Amino acid sequence: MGLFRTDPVDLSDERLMELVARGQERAFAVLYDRWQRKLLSYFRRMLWQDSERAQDFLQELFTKLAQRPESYQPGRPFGTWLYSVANNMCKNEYRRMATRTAALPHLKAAHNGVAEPEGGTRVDRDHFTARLEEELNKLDPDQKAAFVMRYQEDMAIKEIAAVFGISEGTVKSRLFYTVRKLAAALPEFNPQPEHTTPATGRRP
Amino acid sequence: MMERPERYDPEDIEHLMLERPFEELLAEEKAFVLHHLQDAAEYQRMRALLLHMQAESGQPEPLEAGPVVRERVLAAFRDHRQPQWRIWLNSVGGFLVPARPVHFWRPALALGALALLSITSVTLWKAMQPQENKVLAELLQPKVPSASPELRPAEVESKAAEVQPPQETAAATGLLEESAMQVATDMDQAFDQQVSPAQADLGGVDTTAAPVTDLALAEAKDHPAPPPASVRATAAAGAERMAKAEGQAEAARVETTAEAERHPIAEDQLLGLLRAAW
Repeated sequence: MGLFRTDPVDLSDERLMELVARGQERAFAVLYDRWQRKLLSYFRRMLWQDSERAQDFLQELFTKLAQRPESYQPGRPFGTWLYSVANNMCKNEYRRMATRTAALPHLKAAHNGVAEPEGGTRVDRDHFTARLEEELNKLDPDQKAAFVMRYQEDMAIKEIAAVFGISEGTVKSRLFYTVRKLAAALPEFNPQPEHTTPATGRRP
Repeated sequence: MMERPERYDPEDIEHLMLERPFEELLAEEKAFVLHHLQDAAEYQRMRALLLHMQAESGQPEPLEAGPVVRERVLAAFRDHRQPQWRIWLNSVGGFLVPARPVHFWRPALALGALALLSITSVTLWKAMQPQENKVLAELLQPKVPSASPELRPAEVESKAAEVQPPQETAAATGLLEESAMQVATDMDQAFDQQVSPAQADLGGVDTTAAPVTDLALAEAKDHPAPPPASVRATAAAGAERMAKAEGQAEAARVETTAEAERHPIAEDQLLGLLRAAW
C-alpha cells in the first residue's frame, strides 16, 4: 500500500476494481466513465438499436457491479469480464423477448420492423445498418454477439474468446460461418460499395 | 511457384477477403478459398459484407449515457459501500494551505477542534486520577484476607504475627517487660526508703507491737510524704523508657502490618485465588 494517492484515472481497470471492492467511489466513477460508451454501444447494437433500453441495461450492469464487486475474478481482464456479463444480460433479454413475442406476434414485427430497400444498387448506410440488424436478430445470440464484438466493437479474437470462454479457433470459425450466413442473406449489397478500402487496422 | 500449400487456416479467409478480390488471388489462394466456399460469387458477397462492416466501424456512433444514469449508478454504489476514511500524505499540504483563502476556515477549525479535544482530555484525566486510585484500592482490598472488614485490628496483628514473627516485635516486647520490671523495682525501693525513717523514729518502741506499727504504716500510706527528687527522677526515667519502648513496639507492629498487607498470602494461595476467580 503506497503512502501517496494515485489519480485513479491513471490506474488499470483491474487495479480500479480492487479499489472499488474497498469502497472507493472515485475508482468506481472512473470505471464507469471509461466503459460506459463502449457498453452503451454494445447494448444498443445487441438490443435492436433501442437507445433507451441500452441505457437501462447499462445502468443495471453497473448497479450489479456496485452491489457485488466481489463477483469479478481478479485474475481475469476486466473488460472481458464486463462484456461477458453484458452478453449474458442480452441473452436473457432475448429469452424474455422470445417468450413475449411468442405470446404477442405483433411485437416481433415491431422489433424486426425494418424498412424495405428502396431499390437500386446505391448503398445507403442507414439502409445497410437496418438490414444488417434485421438479419442479426435472426441469428443465434452467441453468433450475433461474436459478430458485434468483432466487427462493430472492434474487439480482438483473443478478447472474444475470453468473453465466451472458448478457443480462438472456435471464435474464428464461428465468425466465418456468421459472415457467410449474413452475406447470403444480404445479396442486395453485392457488388461491393465503391467507397470501401483495403483492410487496415483491424486487430488480430 | 508456391512452396507452402498449407499456409492458410480456414479463418484466414477473412484476411484474404479484406485484402483482395477473388480475381486478384493467387492460384493456390483461390484453391484454398474454393475449398471452403462454394464459388467466387460467395467470396465476393462475403467480401462486400466485411468491407461494409469495416466502413461502418470506422464511424463510431457518438453514444453517451445520460447524466441521470451516472447519478443513479453512483447512488447505488454509495448505498452499498462504506467509504474508507484515509488521510493521504500529499493531501495534508493541500488541506493546511488551501488554494483559496476562503477555505482557510477548514484547517483553523480542525486545529482548534484538536486543541480543544486535547485540553479537555488532559483536564478530565487529571480530574479522574484520584477516583481511579480509590477504585483500584477498593478492588484490590477483597483479595487481602488480613484486610477484610470482618477482622478486627487485634486479629489482624495476631495474624500478621503468625505469618511472619518479626524479630523487632520480640525485641520491643522484651524491652517493654524489662522496663516495667525496672520501674516496679524502683518504686519498691522508693517505698522502702520512705518507710524506713518512720520505723527509725519509733526508737525504743517495740516495733514488734503490731498495732502501733500497723497504725504508723497506715498513717504513712494515708498521708504519704512527697517522694524525694531522686525517686521522682527515677520514676520519670522509667516512664520515659516505657513510652519509648511502647513507641518502638507500636512502630514494629505498624511495619509488620504493612508488610503483611504487602505480602498478604503466599504465591500458591494467590494462584489458587486467581484460578478460582477465573
